[in-house]
Amino acid sequence: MRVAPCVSYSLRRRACGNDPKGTDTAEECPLEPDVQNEQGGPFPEEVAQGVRQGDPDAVGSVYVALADRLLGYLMARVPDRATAEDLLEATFLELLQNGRTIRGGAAAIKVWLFRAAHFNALDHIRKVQRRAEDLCEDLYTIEVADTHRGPEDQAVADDLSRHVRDTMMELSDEQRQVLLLRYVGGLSAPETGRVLGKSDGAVRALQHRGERALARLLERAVDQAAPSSRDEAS
Amino acid sequence: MGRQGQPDDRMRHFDEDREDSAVAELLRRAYARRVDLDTAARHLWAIDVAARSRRRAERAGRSRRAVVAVLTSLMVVATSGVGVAASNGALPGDPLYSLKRGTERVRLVLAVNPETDAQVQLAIARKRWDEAQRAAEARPDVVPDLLKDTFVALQAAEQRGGAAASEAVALRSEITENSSRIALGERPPSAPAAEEAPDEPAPVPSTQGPSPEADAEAPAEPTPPASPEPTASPSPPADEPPSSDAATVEPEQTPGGSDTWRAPPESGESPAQETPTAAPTATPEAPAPEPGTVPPPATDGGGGDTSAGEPGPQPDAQPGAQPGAPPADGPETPAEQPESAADPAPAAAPDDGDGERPSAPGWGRPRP
Repeated sequence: MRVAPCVSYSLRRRACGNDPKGTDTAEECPLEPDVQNEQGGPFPEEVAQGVRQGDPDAVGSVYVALADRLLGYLMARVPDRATAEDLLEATFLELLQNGRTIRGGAAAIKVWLFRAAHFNALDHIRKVQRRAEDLCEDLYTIEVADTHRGPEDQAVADDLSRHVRDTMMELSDEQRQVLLLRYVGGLSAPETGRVLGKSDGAVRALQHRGERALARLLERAVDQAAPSSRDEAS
Repeated sequence: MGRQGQPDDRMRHFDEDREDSAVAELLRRAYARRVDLDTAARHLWAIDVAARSRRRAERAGRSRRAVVAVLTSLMVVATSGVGVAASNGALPGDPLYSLKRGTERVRLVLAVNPETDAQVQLAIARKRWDEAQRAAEARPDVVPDLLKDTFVALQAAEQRGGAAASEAVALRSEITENSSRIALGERPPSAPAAEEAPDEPAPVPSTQGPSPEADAEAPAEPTPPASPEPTASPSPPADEPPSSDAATVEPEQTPGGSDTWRAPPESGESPAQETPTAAPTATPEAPAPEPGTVPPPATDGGGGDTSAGEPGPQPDAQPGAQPGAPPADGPETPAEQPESAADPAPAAAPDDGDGERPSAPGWGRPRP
């Protein structure tokens, strides 16, 4: 089961002798662009064919290529690592089962995976909310933000990253999702649109506004925190 | 902000599909994660299990709900990180064994450059060897397959070179020395199908050994396991699992020797048996001659018999033919096969049982 041409940046780092367990975050790693295969997709087309036939090895190859990105996205939506990993597993099992229905090549499968992950995360959040509401009917509605925050937010080592995560929660849901899919998931704007069910223009508008808002809020937070700040997008 | 810098900065943003690199870096720092190895192994294993369950259910016509129930129960085992650690001691047949193999598969996939791959293959070879030794008493029937896999992994490690390759060679000789012990514990019937193919019969650094054997005198040299030396050449797929040889090997060195072998041992005949299976790999054991001599042994399970055949002709095949008869190595090694070095592989062919000795195609296969 080789995924040679299409190795995600984190896997390439691992190959060069870094921590194989991957427990450290991307902070310590130099950022590299994703390696793409010749056709420009996330993994070879033969693998895509295997997925459409329900071949578990092909699904495994897709896992190796995309699991890091998907996990990052899932952990941004559902900040508990164990839950995110379970959702990741469930998403790939869905791919194994429903892969036959996907039309298109590797790129379509990638979009399908992120869409499935997106909805799995949403379902989980809603379930948790519903459960919390059922338990505390007479109390105030649990803030949506609480279901989005979790152990991972506390575990982030970098102060700045913690700021970034907190600030991201202040954006609208849609802006945040667009930014997460674009930057953490590595999807293009059209692909993001397909995951969220939005047009290209809507995605770009959300992305642009989200970036501006994030920069503004971070500037404010960083200025309040310390003078040494990373340069913002503005 | 960009408003003054670029006149239609905002319009541009709407028209382009672009990334803001500063934002990109911030978000990746804050959110990017990597899946750790244990989790990846668990997930890949779950995918495998799910596929197998579904296939089985489809065939049996069971409902999807049954499949889900099976998966859930299996997932309970797999969802704990302890499972991966606990699977380290698993042997074939244990419930956690597939998890163990799944973890190895993940490591192989993650090893992108050849050196890392060689290290992983070496570690796998060590694990298979450890499993083979532990299974020798309790579950001898799986030993030939394990030995075969050991040699497959060893060959892969050697091919890729680097530090791992030399360690692999050392491990190979260690296995060669010790596999006879395991062979002794084996019973002939267990000789698995000749899958030897790719494995190199590691035993016996194969000194080509005296060619006299080639004449098929291979007196009960069941040891052929040494057969095709570890030559890097990928033994022809045809290799028959030398494992049967293991059984045959007995006759030679072991006092007890496989019973079935006993008969043939007297003459190198056994080689005849071996030869047929002779892995197509180069181990051209020089079989040919035996067929007549050893007919009886060949008939038995073929597995066991073939080994007997090996000893004889092997001498020829030695050269490097290690066609993968490694599994048989165990038993064969006892034979010290200097001659059998090449044989083992061909002997592995026992499955064929037919006595056709492969013409020494493998001769002269360069040792790795």
